[in-house]
Amino acid sequence: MSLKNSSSEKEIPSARLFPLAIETISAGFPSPAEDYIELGIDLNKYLIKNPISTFFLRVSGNSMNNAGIYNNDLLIIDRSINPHPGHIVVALLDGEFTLKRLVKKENSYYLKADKENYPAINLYEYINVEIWGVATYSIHDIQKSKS
Amino acid sequence: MSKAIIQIDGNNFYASCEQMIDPSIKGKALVILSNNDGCIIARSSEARKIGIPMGEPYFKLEKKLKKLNINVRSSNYELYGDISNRLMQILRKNCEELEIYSIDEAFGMIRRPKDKCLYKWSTSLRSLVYQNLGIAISIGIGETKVLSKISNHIAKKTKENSGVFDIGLIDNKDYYLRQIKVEKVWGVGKRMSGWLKDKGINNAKELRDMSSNQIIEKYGVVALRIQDELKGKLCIPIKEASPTRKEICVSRSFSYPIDSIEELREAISKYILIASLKLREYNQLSSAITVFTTTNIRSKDYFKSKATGKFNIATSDSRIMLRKSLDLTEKIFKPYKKLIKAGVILHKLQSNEYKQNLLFKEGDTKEGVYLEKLDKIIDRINKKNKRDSLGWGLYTIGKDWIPSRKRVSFFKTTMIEHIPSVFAK
Repeated sequence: MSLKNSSSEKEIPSARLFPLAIETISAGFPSPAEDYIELGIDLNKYLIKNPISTFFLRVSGNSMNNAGIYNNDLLIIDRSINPHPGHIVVALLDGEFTLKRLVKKENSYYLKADKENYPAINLYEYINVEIWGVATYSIHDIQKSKS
Repeated sequence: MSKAIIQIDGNNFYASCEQMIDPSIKGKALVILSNNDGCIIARSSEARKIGIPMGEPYFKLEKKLKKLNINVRSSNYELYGDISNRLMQILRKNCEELEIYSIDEAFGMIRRPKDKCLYKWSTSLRSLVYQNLGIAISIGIGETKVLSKISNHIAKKTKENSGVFDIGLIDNKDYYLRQIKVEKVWGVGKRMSGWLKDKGINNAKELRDMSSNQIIEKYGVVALRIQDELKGKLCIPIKEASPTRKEICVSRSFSYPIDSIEELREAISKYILIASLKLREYNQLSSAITVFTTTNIRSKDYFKSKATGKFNIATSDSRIMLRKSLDLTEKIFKPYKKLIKAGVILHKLQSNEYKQNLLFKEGDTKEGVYLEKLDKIIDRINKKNKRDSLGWGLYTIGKDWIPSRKRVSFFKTTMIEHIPSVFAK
């Protein structure tokens, strides 16, 4: 079993970030910054509003590039959100998770890829479609995808 | 009447979890196997309809399942545990009191509204859970735990109830109680139901109406409480979970019987490492440890033994625990016994927070601090890569002490390497 590169080891769960209690070190003048210690930026808090209903999926394919979602992105889905037109949703289609935009046109709902020449799926014709959740963020690794 | 007990459980919980995270098996027949892929322990409703029996050994049905094209999965406890945890959080938010009864089952307490009716509340709770987690639950309501259990049973049995039933609001209560066989009443064991049937008591209504003296004489007050609960008298209160767990048990059946101390040592040390990892994850310390082992209970020279040792200072240090558990292993081992199961229990758990505050206090040796760090680093590496990437010298890696899960689904909601793909084709 090979270890991954050392930078990956630095990853610390956010719950473990805590400020050191500087006060107990009794040396001279107390730090003026002491009253301003913050917990640091917690991405969990920022990206996940509802941990109970949040799930992650890995994006495979490029049909949503125009929506800013790329192959291999880490997609955050919050199932507690009610899907509305304009939302990017994960749908169950032919036994797969499929990523599309929910569109409303002339009182019909469609699932559409954010790319030209992709046929839209009319939700009234396709009875077996279920919307699994609403995508909230896509995390894109800028360095890896450079090539 | 103003307070109601509700009993909630997940329908075909393990199968529902699998189907929720894997669209390829959604709406399809699916069975889940127990540890070591031994028996069928859960079925999707589709497999149930086909008539696949519960509890049947897998090898007996393997061919049939293949022929019928039924999906088979080993238990994926990481997945079930995560969904369960989320489910309980939703329930806790929505009940006044909550007792987690098992991985997919809970009792709750809720005050009835002015019109007494909890159907609206229940159906919205059901859809809330479905929307958030993609799994279906059933809700049984009654004045007591025993009645709420019966309600839940009826909720599942009858389609028209759509997963909710409230026996507290029913006029013809007796009609429903008569449908419930006495052995299905919560708390009535096999022996007691045999005794009751000999006396001509066959259903819940008859149990409720029989003479209490007879019950007390034979089975004491504990059994009387079941009868009282059937009458609507609350006797078994909701026990809210203590915030911290009091013990951790890790035990497994071996994939084949063992009779050497070396093998027992390997197994025990493996379990200790799993248990101590849990301990550190919960940020707790243990001050006593028990190791145990047993032969097949049906074998002629049935043998079981256990030994307990204490730590001077509560610890979560896997090195200290390993050393102690190996001493204890010598005590429980007996030659020529075909052992089929062993385990470890960490007792007297306490929170590590107090100790953490004093992390740098005088007297805390440098070595102790380093060891604690070392454990954390090892845990992190094992979490990132795979269990057993790094371990302590004694046990060999990857042997059969971990139950085999050949058909376990790849998907987990708790590990980034195991999340499913969503296609943008």
